[in-house]
Amino acid sequence: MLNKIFNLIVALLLFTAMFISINDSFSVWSGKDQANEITVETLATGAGGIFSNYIFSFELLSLLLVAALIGALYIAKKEAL
Amino acid sequence: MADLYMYLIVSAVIFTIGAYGIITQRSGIKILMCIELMLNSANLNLVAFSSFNDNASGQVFALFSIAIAAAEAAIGFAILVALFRVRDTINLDNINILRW
Repeated sequence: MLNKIFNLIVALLLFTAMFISINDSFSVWSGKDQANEITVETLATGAGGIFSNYIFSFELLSLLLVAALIGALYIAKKEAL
Repeated sequence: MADLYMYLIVSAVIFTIGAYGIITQRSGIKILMCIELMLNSANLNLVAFSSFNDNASGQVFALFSIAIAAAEAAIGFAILVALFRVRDTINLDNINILRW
């Protein structure tokens, strides 16, 4: 019981810290009350797009996914551990 | 109050729910779900700032983050499957196989 109350207090403290930091940094990012739509073309081939600026990261990500897939299959197969 | 403020508050709430779940839950699958909650709250922040600043980099980062989260979840569930074969439980209090 005491443990549960302590856990709740820790979570509430975390939320309070984040809330205070959001409120305090309000002056930094305020004034932008209009969400601009970013099209798929901008996201893909624009200045900061996946296929222009971040193409190396994109290729590296594919390598990471293949490695994770092979590793997961190796761990989860029967003879492991 | 700015609209971006609401996104940040929702993101903070989701992050807190995930952190609370990681603190309290002892089942491996629940902890993985809470990790996903925390990662997705960070993604929400990235997309909100990117959209309000008219800069596509944040959404590209969110895409990368989603892919890395998928890889992490695949490895996590594979480890849980392997542990369940050995110990017949995924309660993390009973798993001390990496302890020496």
